Amino acid sequence: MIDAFMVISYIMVVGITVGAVAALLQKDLLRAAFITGAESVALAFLFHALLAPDLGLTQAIVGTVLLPGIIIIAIFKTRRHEEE
Amino acid sequence: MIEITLQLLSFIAAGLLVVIGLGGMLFLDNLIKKIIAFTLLSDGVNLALVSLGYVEGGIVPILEPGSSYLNFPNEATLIFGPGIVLTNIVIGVSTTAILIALTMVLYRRYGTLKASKVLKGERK
Repeated sequence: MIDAFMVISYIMVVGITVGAVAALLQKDLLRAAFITGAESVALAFLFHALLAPDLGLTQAIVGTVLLPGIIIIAIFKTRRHEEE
Repeated sequence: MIEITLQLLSFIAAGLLVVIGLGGMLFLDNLIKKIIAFTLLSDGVNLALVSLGYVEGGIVPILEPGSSYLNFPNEATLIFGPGIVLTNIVIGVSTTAILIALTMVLYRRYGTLKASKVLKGERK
């Protein structure tokens, strides 16, 4: 029997790894910040699947709003594109 | 034959996150990219600690009305790992905020975000 929740969990396991590589390969730092937020959503879902829902709530708030927010503030204060 | 479970897969993913984060911190030249790699490394360590306490087919360690006290030690997941990780998430974001502030000070002084140019010490 295929459990839909576990299938989504396996997809999220692959998603955090791919998201981590994709965030570090971007030349545009703003796009890297958004990909970091998306990877954090996948991590929050995985915390929920690993039976720690309190961590899932905390990670969803902190990793999605706060962390990309301060990175975006830093990008607007400095420069957006990576220099050669 | 090792059975492939969610616990094993998330432990492998945690190891990959630690490797990616450490490699990014060492080999990338942009300071903000280094900070993003640091957060990825922190996420990997958190995921490793949480997946160690996972019990296959277990329950969330919260006692509800009507639930049995006898099966609780066998079924509930371990709470020591998540107890540390909850602290680490909050402290990690404040550490990142301090790193971001220091990066903005460095940019104001040197006019660049490249770590190699900052290490040469040429003022703007």
